[in-house]
Amino acid sequence: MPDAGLAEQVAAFSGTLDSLLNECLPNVPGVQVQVSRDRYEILPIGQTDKHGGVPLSVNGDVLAWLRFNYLCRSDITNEYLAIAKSKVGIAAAVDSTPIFRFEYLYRADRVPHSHIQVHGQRGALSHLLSKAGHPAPHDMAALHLPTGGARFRPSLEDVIQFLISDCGFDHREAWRRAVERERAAWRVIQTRAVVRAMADVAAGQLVGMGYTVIPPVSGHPARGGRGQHAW
Amino acid sequence: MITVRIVTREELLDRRAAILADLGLTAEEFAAKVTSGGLVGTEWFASDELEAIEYLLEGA
Repeated sequence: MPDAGLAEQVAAFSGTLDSLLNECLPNVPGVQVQVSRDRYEILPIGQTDKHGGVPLSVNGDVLAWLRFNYLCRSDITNEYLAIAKSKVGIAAAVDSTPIFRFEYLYRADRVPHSHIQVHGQRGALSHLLSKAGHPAPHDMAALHLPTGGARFRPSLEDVIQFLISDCGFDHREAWRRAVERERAAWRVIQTRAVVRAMADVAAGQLVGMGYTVIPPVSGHPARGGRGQHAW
Repeated sequence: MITVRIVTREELLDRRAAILADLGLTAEEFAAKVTSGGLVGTEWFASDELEAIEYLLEGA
């Protein structure tokens, strides 16, 4: 059976995603959670290996789909929800092909943990990749543009704002309030994680600002390797 | 609206087999295609779903 604490956290996270999407975009299909014991997948209702996601329209015409899935589990402390992988992409409705993909991988060996893939073409890029011996010089999507590692990666809120502000897709009137509310909440979570990974840096900064900080008897914990070095 | 589905190992295996059959490839052939950067069109979506299935199978 799924762990009750984790299940509650997944339900809360799914609810936040559903509310955010509904407050920002029209015709959101809802959110589905698939559960296999202690593993969870969160995705839009109706999203399949062929089509679907959250429809992105211009003047009511659906031109693209916002597709996502979050693969979730407990973190190593078994206390908090952790994202093992997240994929947020925009796919063109005309040919059901991705355009942008924002991905996060907790485990990543050959590519950045957080990256963007762009499905486009640029002759000059293909030329230089070919000269450099890249195995797929014709395929811009084979490049993984790094986006700040695990802690400073873009959030779904950032992607939604990009879709509305930069791309011009149809949106709900109060979208900005929802994006800013959830982005602020996301950044609190990420800030806590950064502080845990680099407690001595956080303490030093607070002392410099006039706070009194008393480290634990055992001293500051070592800085997290992933937090410092992972791309 | 949020819906929750508990998926079984059998469902996941059937779903994986159906996706691969639709692609006309074995799991190994598709994995090689992913590694070589040769995905086109909805193969990207299939890749995402197969990854999710593998992830869920680890919990099944």
